[in-house]
Amino acid sequence: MQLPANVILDVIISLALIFALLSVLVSLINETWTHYFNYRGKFLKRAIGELINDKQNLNYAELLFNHDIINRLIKTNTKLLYGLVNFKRTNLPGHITANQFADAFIDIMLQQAQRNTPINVSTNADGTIQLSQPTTATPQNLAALFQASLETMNGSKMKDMLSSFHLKSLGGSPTSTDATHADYYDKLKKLIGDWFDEYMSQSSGDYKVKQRPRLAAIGLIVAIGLNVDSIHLAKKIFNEPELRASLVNNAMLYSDVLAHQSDSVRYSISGQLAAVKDYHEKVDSLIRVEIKRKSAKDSTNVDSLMKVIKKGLQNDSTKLAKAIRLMIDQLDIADSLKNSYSIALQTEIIRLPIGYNQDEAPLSWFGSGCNGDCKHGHHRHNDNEEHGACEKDSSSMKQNCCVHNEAEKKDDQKKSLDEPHSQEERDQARIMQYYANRNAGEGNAVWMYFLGIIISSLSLSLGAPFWFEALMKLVNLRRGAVKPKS
Amino acid sequence: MNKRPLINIHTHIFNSKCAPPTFLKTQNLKVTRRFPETMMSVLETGFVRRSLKWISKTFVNSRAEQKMQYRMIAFLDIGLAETQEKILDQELEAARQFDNNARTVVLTLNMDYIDDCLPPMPYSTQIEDIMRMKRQRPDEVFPFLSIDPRHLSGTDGLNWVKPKFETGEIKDNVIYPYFSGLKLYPALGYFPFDKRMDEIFAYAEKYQIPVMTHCTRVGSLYIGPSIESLIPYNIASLLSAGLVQSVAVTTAIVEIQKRIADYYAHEGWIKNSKKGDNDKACDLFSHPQNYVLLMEKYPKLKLCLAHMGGDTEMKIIDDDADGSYARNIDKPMWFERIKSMMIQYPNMYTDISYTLSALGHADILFKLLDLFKTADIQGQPLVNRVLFGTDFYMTQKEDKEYDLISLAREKLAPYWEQLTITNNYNYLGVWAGQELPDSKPTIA
Repeated sequence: MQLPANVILDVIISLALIFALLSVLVSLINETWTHYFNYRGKFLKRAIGELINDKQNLNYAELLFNHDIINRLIKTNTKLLYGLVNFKRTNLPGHITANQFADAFIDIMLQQAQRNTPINVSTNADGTIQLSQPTTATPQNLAALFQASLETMNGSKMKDMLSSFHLKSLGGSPTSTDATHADYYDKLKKLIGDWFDEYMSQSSGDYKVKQRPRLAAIGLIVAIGLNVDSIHLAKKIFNEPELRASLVNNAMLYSDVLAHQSDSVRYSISGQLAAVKDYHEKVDSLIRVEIKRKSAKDSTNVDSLMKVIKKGLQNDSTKLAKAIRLMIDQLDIADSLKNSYSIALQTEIIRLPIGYNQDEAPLSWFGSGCNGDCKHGHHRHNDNEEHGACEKDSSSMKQNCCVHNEAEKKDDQKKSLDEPHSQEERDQARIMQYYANRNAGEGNAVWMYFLGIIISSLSLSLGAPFWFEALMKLVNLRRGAVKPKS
Repeated sequence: MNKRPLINIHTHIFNSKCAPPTFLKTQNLKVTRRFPETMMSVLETGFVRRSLKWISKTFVNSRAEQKMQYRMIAFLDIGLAETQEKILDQELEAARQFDNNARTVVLTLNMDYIDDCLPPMPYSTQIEDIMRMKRQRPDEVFPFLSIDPRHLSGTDGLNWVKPKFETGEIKDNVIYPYFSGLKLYPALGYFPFDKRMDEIFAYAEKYQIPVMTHCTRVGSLYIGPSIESLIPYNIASLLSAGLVQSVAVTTAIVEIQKRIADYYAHEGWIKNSKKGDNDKACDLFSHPQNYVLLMEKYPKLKLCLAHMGGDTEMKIIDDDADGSYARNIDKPMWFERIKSMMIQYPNMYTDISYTLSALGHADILFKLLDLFKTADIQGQPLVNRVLFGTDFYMTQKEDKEYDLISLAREKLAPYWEQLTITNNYNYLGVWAGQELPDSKPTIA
């Protein structure tokens, strides 16, 4: 069979769209997971610890997080499900600005010197102990205080580095006074802030690397939970031109929405959710136009029709929407709930070939997929056919839904292959054979199914930004390659 | 100065970060000794603790057992607080239901040497954080500095200790040193008469700095792998050269030596263990008789043997497993030893912390009241040297802080003010803060 280049590109675009939509879900779950277990905050604290903890002196990270500037960023309550569930727990800040860091850190350093406010302890003639305040002056200007603080420290790399910052802020002369260096604090703060920023930009790379195994695990859960078998998806999209066309059209629409967003918005979860929402609205209006064109005479009817459609999608839904809704119900990002629901709705509108069905693999491997009338081994030949087809009569059941036993099945196959057919009919027979084998779990169908799930989970773990970027590039490529119809 | 407010002389506010990750080895359970770090990371998760509470509520029938489990989870909740200050706030909140201006003595603990690994927040950082709190609330919190001969010894130790007492904060014309006393916790792996601390004790005696020491068989302990190296067969190497040769000293040395030999003779009592199974061996560090050597050398040292030996050492019927294993080789009970030492040494104190949770037992209350009335060699009743403390938050395993203070107030009503105010401030002396004279003296 020849594979036309634009068909392959369309299949890839369709897959990219599916992965992009599901990656948003993966990112959403990951964000919630990260938020609930405060991974970002813990990672940040560990990274700051690596930066400023000094074995020869103090564990400055702990002191920093106890400093008022940073301590106020720590949240003690976690609310889930619109505040219905309220946990008392400590959530470390996930982000600290260079300014906040530098202010707090300089404060901690200065306190090392300030604490040396001396007390005089003496014994009186009657043997009682007397505490008093000597008149020795403590350093008053900032540079002198910082210098005094450095002097309290044991020798260490950290001390050397801070001494260097101190010197640079003084303009290189240790004998300078504060009077001639009014901008000492600003300079010191900038040096410390830059040092922090540089280290943090390195750490954010480490954070992404650390997230990969978790994203892969969530990708696997989503792939299993929604039955996303990439190999099957690719075959199905390839074999069904209507589905492919619908997916490609949606992908192009989606890409247009994304193209109008800035990079920062596009790569953020909220941006992606907004895109999904925007995209949904566009599809919504298109459906409206379509309904209007076909049947409805006035807008009231359009609205009522839309309501019926949406309601149908919500209630009827196929396990996919239910599964997504169920997952989203567990999430903590309340604001995104509505938007996330639109992903579910969207997947229904464009009829993504995912989700569980008892007539399809893998559920079909374990029991009767058709109703009670069909008591023999049975295999769905075509996903688009309804169960009712099985019930109409035994001949249609034999042809379209169930193959009663292996012998019959082989006969059917032989018959259909022996008979002379057109290329189109032979292709159709091959497709039917593929579905039959897959739903029966025959041959290497089981292995292929698990391979498909693993490919899906790995693909989903690449993250939403990757798939959105890929989608846009692929759509651009298609637009360049395919001559638009007039 | 107006009437001083209630002060709790014995509390802890260190959190799990001040302890090494293997700290759970201190709990005498197979699972915590074998997998201390795993258990710690599991219990650190609030969800796990809440689930345990729910399991206890749903599946445990016995009310007493359920209460015990709840209390244990409450103890973990406090110990796992993000900051020390949050624990301090909980203590003050409970104490302030009895006195609006209640204060608290905070006993820091140096846990850098209890195992082979350092805590996430080493002791130097722990006290830096405490000093920050003292700067911010000088009249609320009165920290004690933990000393350990393995940290710094001799003059180095003294040079480290001195600035902690000779610097501080001034508020409302009252001068508050950063630290108000010294804390010993020998069970963490040292003998209190270790000569490496001599300079510090001499300094404490000279300036009447109060010393608080843990004195029960149970509690935190050394969980490292080399207990044998910490307990020499012959303690002569630990004793300072200037020790007075008196009958009391000679007797104490002989008995301490014999006790060590007896413990070594019992198989497994003193044995290097990777699991930190040193419960019995650590009795030797905490034993009240060790302080005879200290008091003989520093008779004016204000020393408080906390917990009165523990309630299991006060019982008339010795039915408790905590100390019964050693009863044949270690008589009399620790409470009796402390009592007789208090009679002998007029600068020795004790406190009712943790033991107050057993005040509901008639025999414990009886023994305590008997101690109150007993006179020392100067004819003064011992009640003058009994201090009020609760041992927050260790006591969460027994009951809520508010309930414990209520119980003590009810059972010890006639002595309440004396215990909580008079005795406690006498013990702390100027280290609880001193009003500045009008004119500031100049430093020489």
